[in-house]
Parts: sequence; C-alpha cells; structure tokens
Amino acid sequence: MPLRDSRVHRYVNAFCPLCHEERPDRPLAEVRRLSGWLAVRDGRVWLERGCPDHGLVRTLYDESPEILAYLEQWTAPTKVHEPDTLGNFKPVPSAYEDGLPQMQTQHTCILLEDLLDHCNLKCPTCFAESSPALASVAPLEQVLASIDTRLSRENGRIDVLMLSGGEPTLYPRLEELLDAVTARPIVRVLVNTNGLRIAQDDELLALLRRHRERVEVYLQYDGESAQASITHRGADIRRFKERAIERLSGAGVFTTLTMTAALGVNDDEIGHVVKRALDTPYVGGVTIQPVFGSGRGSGVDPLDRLTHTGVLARLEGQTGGQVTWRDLTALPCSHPHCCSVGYLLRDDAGEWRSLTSLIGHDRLKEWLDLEPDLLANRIADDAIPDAMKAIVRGSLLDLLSEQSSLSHPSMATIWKDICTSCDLGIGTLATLASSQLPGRHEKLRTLLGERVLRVTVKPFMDMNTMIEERLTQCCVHVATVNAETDAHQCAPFCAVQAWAPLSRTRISTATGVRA
Amino acid sequence: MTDPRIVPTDSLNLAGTSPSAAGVGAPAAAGGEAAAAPDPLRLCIFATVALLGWLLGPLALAFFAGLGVVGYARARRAGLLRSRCLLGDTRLVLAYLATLVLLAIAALVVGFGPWRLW
Repeated sequence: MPLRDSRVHRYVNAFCPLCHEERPDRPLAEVRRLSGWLAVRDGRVWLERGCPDHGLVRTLYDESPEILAYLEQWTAPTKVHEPDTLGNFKPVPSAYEDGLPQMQTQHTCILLEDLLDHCNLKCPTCFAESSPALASVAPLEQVLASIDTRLSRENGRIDVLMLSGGEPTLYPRLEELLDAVTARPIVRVLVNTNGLRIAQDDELLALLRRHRERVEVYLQYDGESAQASITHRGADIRRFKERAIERLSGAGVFTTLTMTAALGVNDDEIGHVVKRALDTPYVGGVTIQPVFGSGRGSGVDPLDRLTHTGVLARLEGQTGGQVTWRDLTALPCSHPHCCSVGYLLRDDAGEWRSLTSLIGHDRLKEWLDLEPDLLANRIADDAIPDAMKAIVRGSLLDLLSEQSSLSHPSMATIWKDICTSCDLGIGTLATLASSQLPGRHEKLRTLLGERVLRVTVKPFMDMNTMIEERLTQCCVHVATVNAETDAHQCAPFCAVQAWAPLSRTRISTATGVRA
Repeated sequence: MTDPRIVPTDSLNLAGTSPSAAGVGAPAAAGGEAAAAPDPLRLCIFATVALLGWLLGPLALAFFAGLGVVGYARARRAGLLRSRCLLGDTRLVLAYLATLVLLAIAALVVGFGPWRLW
C-alpha cells in the first residue's frame, strides 16, 4: 500500500464546522463529537475529522509543526477542580450546560464575568456579538453571587477575575462592584476594555488608580495602522487608544495590550505592539490573540489563517530579533496549544533579555520537574536543599501560569527566587531585595512596570479549530447560569463563544435586565 | 459550490497515487498476486466489445459513445468534475465521446473505413 502524504501528529475528537454553520443553534445534545486527527502536511498542521454528513473535513490548525512540538514539551500536572454538578459525566459540549463537569481536568485560573452585553462599539470581529443596541445588564447581586459560588468551589480563592462584556467600563455600578470584589479573596482583577472611556473619563481613571494594587487593565490594542483599527473595531479609533495608554501609564495602572491579529490585516504589526509595550512604563504585558470565528468574527479563512505558532514564528522578524519564539514556552498548567508565555526583563545595561535565555530551557524544565530523568542524572543538584528547589519550582509555576500578572503580591518573592541565578544586574537585585523593607513597595512597582514585560499568545478556538481535549483542560471559565435551575456555574471560554445555547447562559444575557 | 474544507472522496487515499486509479484497466491485475484468484472479467468484456466493434462497426461505436455521453453528462450533473479517465476534466471526456458519436454517424452516412452500411 502506498504511504499517506501526511503524518498524524495526534489523534483528537473534533466537531464539524459545516454542520455547525448549517444549524448553529442546534441543541448541544445533538452536536456530534467526531473522530479525527492533527495531520502534518506540506509543513502545516491540519485538523481533519470525519463527518457522517460531509465526509472528511479539513481545516488549518496551526502553521508550524516544529513550534507546536516544542510547545508540547511544556506540560505540568493540573489542579483538582470541584464540578458544578456532581455526577455530570455527560459528553462535551452538552456537559457544559450544567457547568464544569466531572471530566474537566483543570480548575478555574481565570473567571470571566460578562457584566453586560452593551458596548459603545460594534466591532466587526466581536466574539461576544456586543453592540450599542444591546442593553442587557447583569444585576450587581447576581454578579457577586456568581463570584461567591466560584469562590466556594475554588477553596475560597480566585486567582484572576476578569470583568468583561460588552464594555465593562459602561457597567452602571462599576465602582460598587470593584469595591466589593477587592474586599473578597481575589488576587487580581482585570478589566477587559476598549479604552474609549478611559481615554476621556477622569473619574473612571481615578477609580482604576484607587484600585491599582489589585486591578489591572486589559486594553484592546490592534497595532499602529488605521486598517487594523477599522477592520477590528469598525472605525479608526487609534487616537483614543494612544490617549488611554498614556493616561493609564501616567496613573501607574498596570496594563496589558491585547492585540487581535488577523492574516493580511495586522499580522505584520505584532512586532510594533511588542515594542510599544517595551517602551511604555506600566504596560506590563502584551497578549496577542489570532482572530477567531466565533460570534461576529466570521470572516476567517479556515484554510489560511493566522495561528498560535504563526504568531510565534513572526516575532523574531518583526522585533529585529529582540523576541523570538524560543523566548516563550507553553503555559505548563494549560493545554500546550492554548497559550504560550514569555517574560522579558531589562537589565541594568538597558538590554531586554528573556527569562528562558537567562535561565536556559533545560534548567527551566528541570526546575519545573518536567524532565525527571534529567533531574535524576544530575548528582550535583543534590547539593541544593530540597526546600530551596521546591520554592523555586513553585515560583516558576506561579510565574508561568494563567493567573500570573506583574502586580501579583508574590512577584517580589518570585523574582528574588528566580533572579538569584540570573545575571540581572546588581541594581535590579538590590531593588528586589529591598522590597521587603518598609517604604520600598513603590520602588518595586516602578521597577516591575518599567523593566518587566510578559508576552502571551492566546489562540482561542472556533469550530474550525475546536478539539475536545483543549476544552477539557481549559482553565479560562466564563460565568454562566443554568438554564433550568438558575444556579451559578461556569464553562470553558471557547465553548461558550462557539455554541449559541451556551452563549445564551452567559450571566449578562441570562440574568440581564434592560438598563 | 462545494465547500473547500470538504476533501473529495476520490482523493481520500491522501497519497497522490490512488490504488483504484492504478488498478483501472490494468491487465496486469489479471496476473493476480492476491490470495483469492482474481476474476479477469474485464478481459472477457474487452473481447466482447472488440467482437461487437468488428461485427457492427460504426453502429457499435455510435452506441457505446452515445452511452458514454449520457453517463458522463449525468455524472457531471451529479458533481463529478474530474474523471479517472486520462483526459481528466469531465468536459473533455464529454467532448471526446461526442466526437466519437459524430465520427460513427459520418462513417454510417458517408461510408469509409473497413465497414459500410450500404
């Protein structure tokens, strides 16, 4: 028999995008899980699944098999979760109608609360399909009840709460909400915004500044070109973005630039966004999200699109070699295809260096216990006390986790642990060491704001790229409300955006009242 | 129009060299290396077609070419754009078969070649 023209990378369960497009509203129990595989052909990774109605359906999954294989080396044990409904062993996706099922393999790293469906923009690529015409607003009591339910299932602590929507800065009771959530055991609160109000509203800026020890801003920022702004936001609103960045930086509020990147639109501006972040104090992170086809974003070519590894591959050329894909690793806690992360640190000579280049891939894996064999073979390491190794490993896992953010209270410890072995420069280390002394906290904030940048690539799945295992290991959960019992629960982000029956259970839509 | 995500069934072998295409009309297959003895039915069919051609001449050509035109026209309407025939595109195959029909009619009317109607 002749050989196939492709190599199977891994076997997966997937879903048929054609069936989905024919009837996006079909009951979840009728959604078929299909046998399939990721196949490497012509230097790309394709998702192929067999559909009883449409036959073999092939879509582009990722652009670089080499980088995808590299990412798969970074996996760590996941954390135990508490299911929303005990005994829920239904298959994906219908299981999510009753919240997190028994067969989920990761707890909630990020809880996303959609406060309202209303937005002051109508972005052509909005996955939540928000718009000015929608007025549904979740009552504050419902939002807090949802958060408290999650707290009760997360051992009384939420790592990251993301406030989204719609446009969360338009939430009528935002101030009360921020006061209430910062009074709860929630480590970080992220506000996911388009920045229009931040650019103009002094009161809002003051509110964010008041909460800046716990609250950070995820600011949509698509690049420098008018084309990027018009394609993704429907209008050239760059001046608002620039003003929002200036005002947030001036107020010392940690900000992450969140870029929606699309092939042929702004995939050549990734480097610009990274450089913009490197040059701006308190812009502590960049998140690049290849555009995906859920919600209104239906203009994605399923056979030729920007992907996770495509973004990584473009970094080196667009940043003049300052950042390369080897400076990032997969997030060890999430599915390795779901997120990659890298830290850049500016040393005392003013040069930006990545955590992986400072520590080295092998040592980083060793510290993460990803290579037990390697660890076992290094007798010299026996000289390092186990306790010390455990601290360093714990710190690294924190740093490389979905919930990490630069103003996290444990960042000083993390950096001290890690940087003892790095050549960061005396001044940096001195500042880090002194952060424990009274009155030095602000200096540490300034140091982190000016000299550390977290680069993340976050590819969300639409039906053309959806595979079951990534949903199962997802830790970015959207707050939903059970359609039958009205109980608060949550479900994986990509599932909620893709399937209309789940999307309708988002807290803003399910509990929303006309504003 | 077919969605480009759907992979046509006749390319499902994914290898460029289709086993079915390689086997079509290949007398070598009659040599048979398979465990079960192959039935060389095609050889019988070819011989019978040749006999009919010899006996009926242009009539046989008109009949079989006409049959081919009808068959390929139906297949094309059903969505077959490429045939395993050497000509590939089903439009080319149809043109070829139509030419054969015309040739047969001409031979019957004008009378040329080794066979004459009157």
